[in-house]
Amino acid sequence: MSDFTVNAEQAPVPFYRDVKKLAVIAQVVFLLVVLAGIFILINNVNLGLKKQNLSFGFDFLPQTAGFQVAEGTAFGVPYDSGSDNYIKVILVGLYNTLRIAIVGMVLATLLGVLVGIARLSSNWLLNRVALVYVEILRNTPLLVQLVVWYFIVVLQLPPIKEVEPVLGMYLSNSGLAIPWMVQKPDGINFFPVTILAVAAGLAVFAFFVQQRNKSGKPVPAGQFGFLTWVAVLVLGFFALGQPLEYGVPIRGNFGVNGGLTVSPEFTALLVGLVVYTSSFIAEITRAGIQSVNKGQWEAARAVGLGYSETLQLIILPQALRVMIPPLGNQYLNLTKNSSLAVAIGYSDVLNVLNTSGNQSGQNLQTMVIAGGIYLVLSLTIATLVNAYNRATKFKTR
Amino acid sequence: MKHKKLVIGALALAGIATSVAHFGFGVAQGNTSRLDTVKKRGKLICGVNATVPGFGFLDSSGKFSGFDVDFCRGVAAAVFGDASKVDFVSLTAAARFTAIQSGEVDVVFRNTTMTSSRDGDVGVDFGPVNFYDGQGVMVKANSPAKRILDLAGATICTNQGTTTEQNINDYFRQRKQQIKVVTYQDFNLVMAAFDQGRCDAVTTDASGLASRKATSADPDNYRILGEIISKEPLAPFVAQNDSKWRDVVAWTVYATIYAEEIEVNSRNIAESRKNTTDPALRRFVGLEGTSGKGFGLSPDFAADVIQAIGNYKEIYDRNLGPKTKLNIPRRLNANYEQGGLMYSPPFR
Repeated sequence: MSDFTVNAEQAPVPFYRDVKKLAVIAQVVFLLVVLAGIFILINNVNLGLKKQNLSFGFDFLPQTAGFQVAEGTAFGVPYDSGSDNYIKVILVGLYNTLRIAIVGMVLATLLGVLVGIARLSSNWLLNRVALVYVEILRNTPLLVQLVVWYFIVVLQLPPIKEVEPVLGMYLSNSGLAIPWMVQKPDGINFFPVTILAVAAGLAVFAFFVQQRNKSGKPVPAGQFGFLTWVAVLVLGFFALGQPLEYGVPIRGNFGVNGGLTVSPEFTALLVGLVVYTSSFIAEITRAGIQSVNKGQWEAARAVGLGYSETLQLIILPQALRVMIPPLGNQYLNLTKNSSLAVAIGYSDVLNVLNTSGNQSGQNLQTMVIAGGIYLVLSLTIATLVNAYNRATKFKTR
Repeated sequence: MKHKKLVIGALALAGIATSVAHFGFGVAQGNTSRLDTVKKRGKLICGVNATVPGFGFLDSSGKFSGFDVDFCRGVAAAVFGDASKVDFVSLTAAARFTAIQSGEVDVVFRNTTMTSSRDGDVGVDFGPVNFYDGQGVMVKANSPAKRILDLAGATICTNQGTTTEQNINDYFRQRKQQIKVVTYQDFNLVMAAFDQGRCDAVTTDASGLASRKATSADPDNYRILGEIISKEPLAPFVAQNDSKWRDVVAWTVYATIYAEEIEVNSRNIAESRKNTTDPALRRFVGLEGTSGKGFGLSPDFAADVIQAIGNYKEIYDRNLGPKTKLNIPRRLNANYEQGGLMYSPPFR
């Protein structure tokens, strides 16, 4: 019997057989391997640069960029290619990227949800059309779609010389030019006011929706939000000493000047991104709706709600909880996909950074900046989506 | 006790990690010339343009041809005595410098303008200019523009990552005029947008415009404006601080220019390298002197180059000369004896 007694004092467990120690060692090894990997990477970059007498610095940023950007402003401040520096031109690119990403997210969501609902329609034709739409768009490369939208759709519009204005608007292959309130050259930058107006409108809307949910009484939250938006714009306009003026497109020798021009590059990129992303959002919507218990439909029907009311009031709010995380992924994809803009000549941030890198010879630095900008954008979107997700998720009490 | 062992283990692993790191060190540090790398590989990797007929073009059968492409073959002939030992990599304007910096290609012959900032900041070293060019502007035949300045207010398209973006901007700014510039990734897209009427004009090196016009479906559709707005000396380039390899590239180019001066060409070189008595020629083909050795090449490398690709005139005529569609007059690219700028230091 005594043969089987183990004396811990005399026979300590060696470390390579001690599960606890092995776990610690494994972690240390893993950490060291990761650190060594990072070290080798940085070291190689440094040596490569040293070998070619290059330094990894950002001294070029305050220098004059000297190249043109086809459209966009540095968040309302016009860009002058003769005197402005790389920082400003990168801001112009960032503005263009944000413009396409934000408008794209809103439109892609609206279109995607509609197509998703159509996919579940009992109307045979409608749901087949939606099916074909989704399957074609999500199964072909976005780059191909963008080139098709740009060269085969948008640029097929007639040239500006052959176009007659409709209500003061010109639609040609140089873009859509419409009469618009434009910034006076010497006026105060109005752009922050437009952002403030949207933020205030959304905040008021959210507040009244909350009130409605608490009290259960109907409140026209949408109208209040809209009025706030208009009010802030009007107040801002007079507070800043009327920095805008009414501009009308006027035809010159080449193209039109004045008013607001939506470029063909912007249009093609926006349509391409919206349509492509909407096909994914359609599938997310379909999955979200199908995840709602069938009993909910039947119960809604039983209390006398029609199809669209059931969808709006009962099904979509519940489906939304399932949809938000994958929707967030699509928003990230859309933002990053907007970097394909370079293929069709839209001056997004990557396009501008590419050119900056080439003109200044600082390719590595501009790529690092591009990476950093997209990282910050993506993390911001992810944080917002997560916050919204937490706020709306099903709370168990 | 237990902790001691753990610490020892961790230290041992740290040792391994650092030696791995040192290995990484060794790989990147290698102080060898690109020439040795190329010789060891047995093949030259040359970066070229694939979209400019006459200079660098990838045809439908997958073969590269053109003026710059021939110079790549010349470098292969100088190193290996065999012009076929070369792989071509097609590069966009924006990617060409990173391709050299990262070592993806050994040398780039891709109608690249030599500028101080590229030589200084970008980390490349240029060889001798093999084509003197200047920036031009092309419009549709029915355009109202007669001179470049008539294009004030117009939309001008070009490709990304070139000197042309700044030149055209400077040109109009100096004259207090505005233009819109739309840039695309490569010149095929530029031409597609131009043909669709998105741009009122396109701009790039005059040679590139001539090439585009000549090889289009209907050359009469386009008109190249007379003015040249910039200096564009096009030259090959290699990675910075590798003078041995730069010498090889430079003297390959010089060999073609020098051969034209001393009237040696691909037809008479075989005869000359065997039994010439002319002392200058004997040095050029390696019968006398040791110039090739200093470059790490065979003494008769220049003769190999000429035998493979011909002299500068032959290369020019084959790709850009009067018998081709492009038919670009030599002007600045004539030999200095004919009033051009092509001038080779002597082989001695």
